[in-house]
Amino acid sequence: MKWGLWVALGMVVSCAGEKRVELTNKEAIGRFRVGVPVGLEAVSRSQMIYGVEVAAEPVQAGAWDAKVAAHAEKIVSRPSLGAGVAAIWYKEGSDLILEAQAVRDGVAVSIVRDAPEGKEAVAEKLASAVLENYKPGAAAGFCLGPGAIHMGPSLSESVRINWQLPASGVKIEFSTQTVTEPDTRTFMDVEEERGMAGAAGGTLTVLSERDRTLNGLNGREIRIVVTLPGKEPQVRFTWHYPGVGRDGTKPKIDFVAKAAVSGQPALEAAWDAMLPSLESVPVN
Amino acid sequence: MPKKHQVDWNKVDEFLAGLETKETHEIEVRREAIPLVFVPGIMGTHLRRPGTNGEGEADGFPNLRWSTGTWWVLSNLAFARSDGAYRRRLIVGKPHQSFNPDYLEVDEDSPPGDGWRGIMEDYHIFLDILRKHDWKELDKYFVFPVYAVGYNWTDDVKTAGTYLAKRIDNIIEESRKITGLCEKVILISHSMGGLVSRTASELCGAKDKIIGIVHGVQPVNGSPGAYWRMKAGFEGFNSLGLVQRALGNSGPKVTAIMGNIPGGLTLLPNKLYKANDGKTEWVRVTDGGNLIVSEPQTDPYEEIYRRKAVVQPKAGETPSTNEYWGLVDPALLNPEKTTPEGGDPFDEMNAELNNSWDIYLKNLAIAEALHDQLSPPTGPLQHAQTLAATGIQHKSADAIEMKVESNWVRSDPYPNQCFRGFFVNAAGKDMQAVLQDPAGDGDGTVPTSSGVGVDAPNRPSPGDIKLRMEHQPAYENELMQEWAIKAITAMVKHRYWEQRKGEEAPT
Repeated sequence: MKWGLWVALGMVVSCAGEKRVELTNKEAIGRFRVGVPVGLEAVSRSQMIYGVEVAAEPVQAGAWDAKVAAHAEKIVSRPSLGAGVAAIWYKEGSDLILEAQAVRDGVAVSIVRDAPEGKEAVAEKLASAVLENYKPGAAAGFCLGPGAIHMGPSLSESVRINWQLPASGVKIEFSTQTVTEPDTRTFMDVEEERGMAGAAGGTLTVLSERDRTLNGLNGREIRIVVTLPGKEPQVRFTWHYPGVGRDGTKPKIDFVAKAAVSGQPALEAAWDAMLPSLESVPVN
Repeated sequence: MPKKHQVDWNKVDEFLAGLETKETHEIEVRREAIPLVFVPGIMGTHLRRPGTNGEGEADGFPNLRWSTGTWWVLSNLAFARSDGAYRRRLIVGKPHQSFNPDYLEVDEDSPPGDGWRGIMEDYHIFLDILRKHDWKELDKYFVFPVYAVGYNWTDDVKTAGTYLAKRIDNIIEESRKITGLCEKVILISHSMGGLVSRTASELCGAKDKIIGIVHGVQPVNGSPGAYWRMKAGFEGFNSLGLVQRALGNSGPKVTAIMGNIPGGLTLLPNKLYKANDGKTEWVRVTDGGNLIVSEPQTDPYEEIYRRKAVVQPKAGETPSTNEYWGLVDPALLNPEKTTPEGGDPFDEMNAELNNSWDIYLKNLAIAEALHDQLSPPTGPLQHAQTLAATGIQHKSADAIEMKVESNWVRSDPYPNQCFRGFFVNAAGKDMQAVLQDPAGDGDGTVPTSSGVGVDAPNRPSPGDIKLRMEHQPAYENELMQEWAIKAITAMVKHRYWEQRKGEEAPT
């Protein structure tokens, strides 16, 4: 089953004179939802709320037992986090880690959280709260795919999802992270990147650079192509929104898409379909 | 057919007993293999996730977690994927994971062979020169296989030293197959590789298997440049290599990696460090020419590294007491888990569980233990046969200078390649201490005072040397290459002298 299939929309985006890309479904992750073109496969995703890594996947028989078996020699205790919740504390190196899983409506909701020794009870309370606040469906809350955590928004949330379009080698990443101040710093500017490419004997050409507003969020889009000796030229599109400090509904957001230049048409088509589809998910 | 015999090169003038008088005898002189073993600097070794061959991706991250290949750097460290959270996940692991020595391993063949694959390609230039070098008369007695030993530079230098000591054993065993005779190696180090080489020699039992160590641009007593970069990112992009650039141009990017790995923290100034002017206080904040902070007096660990860098003053405190000049801002260590004050009760629980600072202190203690063992108060430990080259005439942070200015509008302590520590002075005015560009002499990374830390008078020719060269490409500098070959030659001659009981080697 495909990750986080929320609802099939059969949506078609059309731009004058441009390719039409069918968006088969909308992926809900964190506080956002985005349309996903046909053929784009999610290869990884992660979500964190209140410092708790949390995931929701279709139940796979034996998966929890296999996880427990994998950590068997490192298990410190098996805490009780409530009815229907399986949990273990284990030591990995010097880290003390809590993993737990609850099955809700055919979905395995799992969490991971570390804690300093002596603070296990706090971690258990926090983890329990995250699990208890899971609700099926992604119409609101902090979305995990098939369901969402109805808490917060927290001052500490992050998500990341990676897609691939195998036929054309296109890779797309969407990530968000809450900020204390707008993040205008970590996103490298083009001149800096040009310097890096030049130092490697290559060139960087800006295809376009502009302000672009998505879902009412004012971000910056940059499209570049990089040529390096001995490599097929690579194109990369980025859209960066710096976020609003201390606002969990307005984290910094990055879309990054990459492909060899031969995959540029497919990349452009996916990009132009996905970005306008970005929308916020209601908190409650 | 003559009867063949082998005689070790150093015993050719010894009496050869038991030869039949009616036979023709052919005596073959058996040469000695002396492996030349190159030990790279920090970031000079490719690292991968264990259980992979370094190809492909998992969880949205490349299995090859550190490479110096241009495309790898541009794909994985530049190009938007450049914030501290991403970098921490790449090198250290997920937010719930702290540094684990088993998280990464050297991306090399098994067995490693000559080890070249595992290290930065730029080093191959010098290794090729060594491999093709004509050693003239010495070739009659010796052969010189060229090896490289990469190591997990995120880990404790002691672990890397232990690994190097083990590899020296393997290399000697392997090189013995060339001529049947191999007992010792010569180490050639770059930067942090010098600390690893000295650790292998002096702390991990390899001393007697090493003829000598040739050091290039070693931060013998550490470098305030490591502090500067954790506060403000890598400076002077035009003069730095691609890899150093990729580490990041702001404090948050660099601290998310360096603050979480004991290997990185080992590059900080140790307790023996003195600035180029001979002073122990290498963090200096001046206000109108008056020194208002001058640290450390004796111990940078207690007086700088274990002080939390609080970069904004506490509201209502006049004058503020925040120590912005501490090394690490705890908020930068694990960005995805860090929660600002003032959230809801669950945010407060998350904050209560955040032990990033304690984990940093553990990693710092590992670095301190290595520093204390390798550089005790009596001076840096070193192999008896040592020659060292130091880079000069490039602006380097031999001391950290911050100048106090009035602050009316600024609020970001971490602009690219800059740091501002905010505080309130006794008059209740908002002030900022602005980090100044490096201004001391050195190779751009290691200041002269630290580079010469193992230098000694009366060493055999070519002696220790200071050359106008930059840190990262030191071994691409022709004068450095010439000096290094002379240094290796001196050590080979020492081996000759040792084996021939005081006889000078032919040249």
